[in-house]
Amino acid sequence: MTGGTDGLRVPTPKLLGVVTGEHEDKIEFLSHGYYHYVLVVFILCVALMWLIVHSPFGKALQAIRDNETRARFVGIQIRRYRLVAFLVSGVFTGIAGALWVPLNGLTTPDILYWPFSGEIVFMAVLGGFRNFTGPIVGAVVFNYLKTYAVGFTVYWQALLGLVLVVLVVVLPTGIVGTAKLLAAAARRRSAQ
Amino acid sequence: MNLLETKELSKSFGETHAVDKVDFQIQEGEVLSLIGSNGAGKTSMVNLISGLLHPDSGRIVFRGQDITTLPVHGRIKAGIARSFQIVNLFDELTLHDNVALSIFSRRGMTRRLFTLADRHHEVWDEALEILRQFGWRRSARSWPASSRRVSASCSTWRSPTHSSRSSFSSTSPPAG
Repeated sequence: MTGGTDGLRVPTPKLLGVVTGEHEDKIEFLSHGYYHYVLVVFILCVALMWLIVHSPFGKALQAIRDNETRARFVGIQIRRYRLVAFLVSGVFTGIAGALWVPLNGLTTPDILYWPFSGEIVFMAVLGGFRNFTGPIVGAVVFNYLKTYAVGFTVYWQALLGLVLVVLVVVLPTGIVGTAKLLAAAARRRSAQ
Repeated sequence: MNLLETKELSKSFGETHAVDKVDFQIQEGEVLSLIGSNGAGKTSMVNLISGLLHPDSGRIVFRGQDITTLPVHGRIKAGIARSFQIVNLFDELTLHDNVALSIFSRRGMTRRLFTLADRHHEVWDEALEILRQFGWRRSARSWPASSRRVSASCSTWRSPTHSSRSSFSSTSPPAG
């Protein structure tokens, strides 16, 4: 039923019953019709996420992240808010997974192992998880890095791990965080 | 009726009796200072009343309601607020955000996921008014939160008529 270790083969999907890949080349469909479909869902999700981050609930989550004790004394029920945050995260991750599987064409137990989840964490750290755009920038840069690393060496995971260690030490706020710090420093210098 | 009352409140850490059968009452409008040397148990006492610690025995009564077993958010809902000995704020939020978040919480608005916080002008205006009461004259929108004055401002969020509320902080007297 699940295909065991071979996993499940996922057929080319029909999109909203309108855009269909049935009568065209699969590669053509995935790189055009499906690509634009994913892009639209991505934009909608980013807009929704932006709203949540800038909502009173989002402010409460930032408060919990910054200072849990203080947040408790502001009247925020930490566990309940974390549970909701976990659910929200699960919804977006579920959507991402559902979009990714048709592209891969196959889903296997391998993707349940930690390295796949680790890649998502890597993207967030790389871009800067304290900035809204950080993980988006991180995802783009990570995919470029991975593509080049895979072509460069068979030990590409070790190479990416090394990059991650260097990042945490040198750029703890990620690419976007560092860019913002540099921009703020430049503004201060020009104001003096 | 006493505003706040403790009855034989006790808390021990191993062999150390930090709070030992303490009884005290505060009336509405009264200001009470708890003074003692380092390690005397002032902070433990404040932690017990605010709910950060649970007592080994004894009771805490606020406005006639037994709050001994209430969680922190329940005590805050009842009207208790506290500030901390070491300035304790959300460092990455602005000064204005820090105070506004307290107001959002009081109004039960922090549960809202699909509304922009910035749209609630009444909350931001109230936050600004509280900050003005504490002497913040300029716009506090972009200021980082990093002072005890901000901490005190945040503890005032509970109510516009905060004289009827209790606010706690524990600070050791200067040495010598």
